[in-house]
Amino acid sequence: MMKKNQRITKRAAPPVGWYRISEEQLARMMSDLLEQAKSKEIPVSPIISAEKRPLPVDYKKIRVLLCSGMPDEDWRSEQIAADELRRLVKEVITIKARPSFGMSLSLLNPDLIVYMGRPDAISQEDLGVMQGSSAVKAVWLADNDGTSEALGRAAACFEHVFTQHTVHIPFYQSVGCRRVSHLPFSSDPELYYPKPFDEDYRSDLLIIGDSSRHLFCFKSISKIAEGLKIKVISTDAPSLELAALETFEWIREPSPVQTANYYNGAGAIIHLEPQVRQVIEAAACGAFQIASVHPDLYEYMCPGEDVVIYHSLDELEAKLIYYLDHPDQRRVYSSRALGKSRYDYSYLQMVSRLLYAVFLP
Amino acid sequence: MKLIAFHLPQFHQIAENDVWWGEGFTEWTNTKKAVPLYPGHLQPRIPLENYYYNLMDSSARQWQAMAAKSYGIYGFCYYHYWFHGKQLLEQPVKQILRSGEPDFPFCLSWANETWTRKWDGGDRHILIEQTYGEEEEWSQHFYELLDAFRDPRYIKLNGRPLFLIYRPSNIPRCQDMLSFWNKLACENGLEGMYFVQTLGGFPISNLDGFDASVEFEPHYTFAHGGSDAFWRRIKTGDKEHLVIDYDNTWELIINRSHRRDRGQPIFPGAFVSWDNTPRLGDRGQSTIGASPQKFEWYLSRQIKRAKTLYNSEYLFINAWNEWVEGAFLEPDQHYGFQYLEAVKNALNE
Repeated sequence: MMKKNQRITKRAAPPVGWYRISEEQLARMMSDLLEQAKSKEIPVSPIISAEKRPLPVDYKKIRVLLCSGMPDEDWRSEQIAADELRRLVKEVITIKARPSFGMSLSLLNPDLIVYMGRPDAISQEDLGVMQGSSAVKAVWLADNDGTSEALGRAAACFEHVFTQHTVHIPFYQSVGCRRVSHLPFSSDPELYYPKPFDEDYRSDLLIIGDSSRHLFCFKSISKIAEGLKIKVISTDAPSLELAALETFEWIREPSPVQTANYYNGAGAIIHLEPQVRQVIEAAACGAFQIASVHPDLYEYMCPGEDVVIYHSLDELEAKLIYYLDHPDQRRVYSSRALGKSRYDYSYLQMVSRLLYAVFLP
Repeated sequence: MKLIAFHLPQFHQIAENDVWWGEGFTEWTNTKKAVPLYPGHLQPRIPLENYYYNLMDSSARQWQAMAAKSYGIYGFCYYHYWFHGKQLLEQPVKQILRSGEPDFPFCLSWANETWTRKWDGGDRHILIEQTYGEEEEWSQHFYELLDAFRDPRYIKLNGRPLFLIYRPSNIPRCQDMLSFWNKLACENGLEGMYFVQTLGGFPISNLDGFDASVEFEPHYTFAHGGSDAFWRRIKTGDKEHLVIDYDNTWELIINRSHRRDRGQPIFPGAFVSWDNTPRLGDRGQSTIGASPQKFEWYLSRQIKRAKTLYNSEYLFINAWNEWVEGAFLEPDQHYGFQYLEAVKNALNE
């Protein structure tokens, strides 16, 4: 035990002796260890020789069939996913999941089938053809709007299920899906990127979320951000009370191009009910973002590095006041988010994750 | 960027079609009798407000030009049919020349194929045979078109009227004919002719005498795209039907190398969609995945390629009004003006 005021002095450590041991000595040591472990009934993983270790999968030998059942308004997701997959695998063939697309399955004979969209639209006949295929089958669900029993049953026909929301994982597991992972769609780099914007799209604050569920939030923000230009992207119309405030400019259902412009024009974005894909898209535009805490944000993003998180209204108020006053700190966040949107959560990383999960031994 | 849309004049009655296909036959005949072959198959296509126009009606031609101009189309390329001194479907263009209306740029594409019952340009069940003659006929042909070439609305490059030929390889003495026409053009006050060969869905020979080529889509990609990834067979009842993947086809187009041969200028092409089932039923081909939004996206990229890679002032769109082939920009009941709006947006991007 150290005495008070005892100084710690650093003494030079004795030189480390590196010993060379022979292979025989190493083998004897391992054998002794195993014997000791056996006597103490300690489970020991078998030592796998180099010859017997499972070989890493060579993705460049894999042929992928990408079946797209994506809705029309999200047609670019399949294209970008296919494009990025092509960087990693030998071949990607894309087909639209229209009636009797099962005929193509039997002709193309892929190693991996990836269905993008909602497989509850697949006919029983086509589903039967797919299940009869020897290919590994994965479904990348477009279940942002929610699940259903029919969707769950269809997803259970696939060996690997990838969902847009972590909260859906227990449901898919409950209906028999064996391997379920969270894998959100990423941002379209042709739409979401840093660019100049017209004055119409400029805002000091861009709030994304429905006013009916967050009335107190809106009232609080209107006091803190008095005098600032605040735009709101909301799926519902504002209440009379909020509309009367004249603090907010309400935007209903902007197109993807307009949305990208609003992201670029925003001094700060507040996500009241964060959708991870929206957060990724805004990050790709180089936006500074504050988001309500949500489990979806923790797998791919780094709260505290590329997005600011709040747990309560009080915390939102405090952080909003702070960051409105510290533009360079906002810039640090947004720059990190921009970099990560390219190197951590772009479509390339998402399809890499998909392949890794599918071919995990 | 000058967008030129191919224009089919077969929207009026002619005696030959009455004999071959029945009284009153026009493209509207097949348009109306189309049926959907599978769930989601968009047929029959119905013109907006049931505007089954007659191209002999000057108001129809005026409306077409006004609509095209409003949405950024620079001009029409009318198909021209010449068979050994006989013309077919020539009256709308003749009326345009006579009347001076509409005030809208145009050029001509010689659709030099034999007409058959199979609509395939082949030589079975011939209705009228495409032949080419020699200098005497070439001269007759040229002078038949001279008024058009001299018209101030006729699209010219460096003072030379733009003239497309669809199947130049079928012309036995093609280079001689082009030289002959060039000579006649100069003799008649023109700077010469600007000949454009069509790169389409047929074997393409290297021919001298052409100033440029035009990529006629989607046929050029079908035949020379180097991939058959866009073809699929689906079941339609107890039969099989060939469908084209819209996105796969367009991806081949916009990712194609812009270099072809000998540095000859190329006018890039675009296609609205493809569906010839109104004419051929399940023996035809239809497209899966087409939409105005996608067309806008792809067209904007092709326009950019035209400017930056092809260094081309022109881009040809198939087509303004090929209703029976699913390749039309004209408004219909399903999409309204969305395809034309897509053109305008693509130009503005």
